[in-house]
Amino acid sequence: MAARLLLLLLAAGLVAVPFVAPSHLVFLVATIGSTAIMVAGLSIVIGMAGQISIAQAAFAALGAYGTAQLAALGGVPHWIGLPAVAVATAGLGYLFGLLSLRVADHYLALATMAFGAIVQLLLIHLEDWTGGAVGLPVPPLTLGGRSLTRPIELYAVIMPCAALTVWFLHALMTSRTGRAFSALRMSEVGAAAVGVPVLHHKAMAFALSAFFGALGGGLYGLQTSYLDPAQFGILESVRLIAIAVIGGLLNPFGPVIGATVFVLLPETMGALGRYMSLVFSLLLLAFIIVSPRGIAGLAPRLRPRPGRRRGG
Amino acid sequence: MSASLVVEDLGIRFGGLVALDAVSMRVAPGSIHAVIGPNGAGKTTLLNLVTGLYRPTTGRVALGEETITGLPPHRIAARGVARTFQNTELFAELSARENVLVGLHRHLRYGIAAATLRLPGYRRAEREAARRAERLLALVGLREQAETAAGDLALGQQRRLELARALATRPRLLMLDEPAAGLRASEADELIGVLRRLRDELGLTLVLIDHVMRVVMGVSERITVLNHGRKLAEGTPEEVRRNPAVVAAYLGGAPHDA
Ligand SMILES: Nc1ncnc2c1ncn2[C@@H]1O[C@H](COP(=O)(O)OP(=O)(O)OP(=O)(O)O)[C@@H](O)[C@H]1O
Ligand SMILES: [Mg+2]
Repeated sequence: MAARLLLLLLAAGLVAVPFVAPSHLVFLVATIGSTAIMVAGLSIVIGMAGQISIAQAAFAALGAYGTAQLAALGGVPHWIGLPAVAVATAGLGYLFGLLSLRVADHYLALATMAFGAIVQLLLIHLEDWTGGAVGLPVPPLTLGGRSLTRPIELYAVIMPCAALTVWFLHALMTSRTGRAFSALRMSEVGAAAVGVPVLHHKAMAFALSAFFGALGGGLYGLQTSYLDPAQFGILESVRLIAIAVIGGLLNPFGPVIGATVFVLLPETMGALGRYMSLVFSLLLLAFIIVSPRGIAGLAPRLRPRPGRRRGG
Repeated sequence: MSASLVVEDLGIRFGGLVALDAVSMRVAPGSIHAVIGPNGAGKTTLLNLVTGLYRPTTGRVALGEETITGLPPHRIAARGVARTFQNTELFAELSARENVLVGLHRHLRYGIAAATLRLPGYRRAEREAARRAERLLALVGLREQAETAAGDLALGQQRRLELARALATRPRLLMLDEPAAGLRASEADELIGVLRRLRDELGLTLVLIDHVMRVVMGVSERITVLNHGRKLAEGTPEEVRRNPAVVAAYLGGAPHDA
């Protein structure tokens, strides 16, 4: 019950933000939203399915560049382009996941990293398509002929997506698919022995992570309104993993909690902001050692038990 | 419900080691068939070959009329073969109940969309699954431990949970790898009762690997004896007990009697 009340308060607060907060803060909260969506993909592939992926920034790049260029070159409105690109990226993620038939564990992690590097190289070298190292502008989101570029307008688009993403994580964790992910994380042999197609589920986990990576990346691109390859390197993939781990990998709110810390902390540190990467590295280490379930894991009573039956 | 298991000339080698060498056996539908033999005889290897964990280098496995040689494990499970593991392969961080729910995976028919939108199909399927899981946990005496993480259960409880998880798949053939190892005599007797009930009430075909003679002799109708990857003998418990070759194989490395 306390959890319900907390959720209600949170929702009310999020609705109120654009009316009471300065637009700089509205922009930051929306950034938490788009970042959390990208990170949600990692909750699925790393947290649930136990497959290390260092490719999330690459999927985000595909979402952002794909949406931008569909609009710029093809005139496809973002409302159609972004979901379409996210679905296509999910397909690519599925194919990538099938790789796990041939390579596993550390080697799969390395393969995801190589994939990330390749995507970034392509962004730099396919200049005609991507603007090369200089990058390219993102055409604005439009509605009824009007451009939606103000922080409030993007907030109104991004936050519902973030809320739906949190709900999706919760729903997934309490479904047969989510349980199959957990099962294969703990024992592939045991999962296969009860009839869970392990390869298909690994590929599904990668597909879902790619979907949310692309979706979050596309939304983030609308916010920054300019894309360049430096935003989507391996370091960014590692940063997203850090956010996922610090927020809590097995909690639907983990991505939001982690993104809140990572987006707001640099803002409040003033001159110390220069040492942010050091602070985050130490935070990451501390959580891996002290609370592998992240910040969300520090409050176990608020954690919805996956799979609990409503009303007993 | 039950199915016969036919194994013909089944063999596998690991590098230079022939772990199983042209073993044939036939398990009648609805029977309880034991596989015994000294350590390293190839018992677990045989089970791994039947359930698809290993691909055989020679031979054939058939379930009823259907050849299942070389199919991946999840497809063999889908055809009604369930198993337990010598060193349990539970999902340690999941609760006992969730372990059984994973066993029900194939019988839950809804997609991610239905789960996300909480459609009636999802709710109905999950309700039914929860009921089945509860019944199965009760059957193996783990009702009280339903919410306990599998990794926190005692060894005997883990064995029973793995049995419940295997039964959740609704098998026609159930293969148990040393279910009685480490059990006290009273627990072993209880296990015999459970195995008989599974066969009689669910009509399962059971293949039982064990060292514990009390269980093997007490419950099985036929016994296959393996030694160094080969079939040494086969017959009723009485025939096997009197077989000089079996007695010789067990001399020195005698089977632990519970
Ligand atoms: N994956 C593998 N790779 C290499 N050798 C293996 C493998 N699996 C089994 N073996 C070998 O095959 C032989 C038979 O092993 P298996 O586990 O089937 O014996 P077992 O009859 O089950 O023995 P135990 O009673 O100790 O469980 C052993 O020599 C074992 O080392
Ligand atoms: Mg064995």
